[in-house]
Amino acid sequence: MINLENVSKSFGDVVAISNLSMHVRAGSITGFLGPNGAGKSTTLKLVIGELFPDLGTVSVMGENPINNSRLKQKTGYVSEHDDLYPWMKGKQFVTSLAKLLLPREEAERAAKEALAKVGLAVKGKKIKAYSKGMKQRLKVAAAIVHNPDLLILDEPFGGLDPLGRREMKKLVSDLNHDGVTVLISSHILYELDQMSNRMNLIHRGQTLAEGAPSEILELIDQFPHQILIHAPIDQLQSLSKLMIDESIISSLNFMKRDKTTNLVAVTNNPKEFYPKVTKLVAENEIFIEHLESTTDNIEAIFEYLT
Amino acid sequence: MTMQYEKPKSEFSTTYVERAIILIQLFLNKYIYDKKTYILILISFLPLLRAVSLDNAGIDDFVDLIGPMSIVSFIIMPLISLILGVSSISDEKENKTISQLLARPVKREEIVVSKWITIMIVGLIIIAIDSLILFLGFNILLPGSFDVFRNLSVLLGTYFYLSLWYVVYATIFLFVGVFLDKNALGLGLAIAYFEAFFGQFIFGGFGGNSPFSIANHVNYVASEYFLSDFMSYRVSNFDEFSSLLVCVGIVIGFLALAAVTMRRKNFP
Repeated sequence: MINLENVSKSFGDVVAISNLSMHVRAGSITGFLGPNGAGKSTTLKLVIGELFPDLGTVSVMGENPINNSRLKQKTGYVSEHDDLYPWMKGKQFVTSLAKLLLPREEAERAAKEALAKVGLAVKGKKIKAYSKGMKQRLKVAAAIVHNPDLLILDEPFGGLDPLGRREMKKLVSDLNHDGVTVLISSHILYELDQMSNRMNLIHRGQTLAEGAPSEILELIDQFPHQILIHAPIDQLQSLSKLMIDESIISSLNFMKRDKTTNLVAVTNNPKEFYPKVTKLVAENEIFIEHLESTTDNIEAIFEYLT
Repeated sequence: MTMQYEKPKSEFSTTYVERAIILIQLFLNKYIYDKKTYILILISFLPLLRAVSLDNAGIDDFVDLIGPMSIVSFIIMPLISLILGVSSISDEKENKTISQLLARPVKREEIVVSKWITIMIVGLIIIAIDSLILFLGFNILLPGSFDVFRNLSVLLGTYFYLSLWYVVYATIFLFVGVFLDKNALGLGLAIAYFEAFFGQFIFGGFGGNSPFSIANHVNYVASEYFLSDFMSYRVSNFDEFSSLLVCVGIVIGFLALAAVTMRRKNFP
């Protein structure tokens, strides 16, 4: 569906993308994951035809996307920006854009359905009065109003509350179920790993990995995870000994903060670590107040992978 | 839930004209809510401050007020053309709304031509209001200076003269707005005053009005076709029809340049 072959793009001295290759299969939800500034938006703009590649080729459904209005009939794009006309009303905005492709009556019906689909039913309110979440939904409605075959979403979860995120994920899954291929970017791993059936990791303008989410997660799981455990000191001592005996950690540190002591454990195998610690705690009746992973930082993971 | 309508086939179900109308409606909406539109109407009161100081004023003084090298032709018209011309595309770029347009099944050239038609509609309406304000304002400030009803042809001539200014300059500035990503307004201002100042005054100092000034051609056309009883203006080695062709050529040329530039442009 989408093929990028050895694509490079620079803006002056800044190299946004360097020799990037990427493939999106028809019918998939492809998660496009990378830290901020990795080149995700530039890549998506190349796919949608807003940018010309300096080197390499970009093809969407076998065609060059630049100024290709026939291709745009089959694609929908949600940019990361607040690219709405604030003086318009939501329905008027979506209807106007739909009329570029559909006859008047059909455009109005399609706009109504697209707005219902994203759960936006605001009457008489101008876009400038919309919340960030409402604007995000409106952008999605405008992107799907012409029933595209390919939907490209650039950071669509930004500004959405947890309920909004869940609804957006469901909407994307539903669209995919109806046959729409989805390419969705985010810098947050957990936003994509559940919903995607393909994942592409990008860092510093280059593809790091491409494949099924399970393969990608496995790759990420090899990254040393740091876990902070808060418990009374005697309990921490007992737990440390047990974890060393079980060989599930690569290092241990005791951290004293104010009057409390925390244990910082590092493991190379988080998949194995969590069930074993749970078992050890239960079997040995160890009291733990708090346990958390401190390595959710995607940038740290990407730094490790490169 | 699945949508009821059929998926569009590989060809458009709308024509070029239908899409242009939708785009123009979309763009026109902006100007109704944009404060700039009303400021461009209000600035037409400024030249009237100059009129207050006139003694025994007549219809000739009114034409002097809007004619060549006046505050209207030298400052207000370039300003209106500049603001509407440059901002038409550069506003879309700055507000990132260009993304919405580029993602739609319309050619980039269609966006440029629709923008051009939009700024022509808006500009020509503003100039109609401005001409009326100047014409009636002059008469109200200087009662008895001329008979309004007997001089309606001057009002019409003023409108055509200022409209020609606008059409030519706004098209050039539309191109500037497409071509430049930053400082388009600043460069447009520099072009307007460089062209008007050097073209009209300095180059004009060498044997009559210079043919290198667009302003001179506009003034010449107006003096022959729109306000022939009140204006006398010549351009060296040009007749009035050639000057008209220069104006038309500039409009077509810069519109084509804007479309070609848009076609090849990156929108980061």
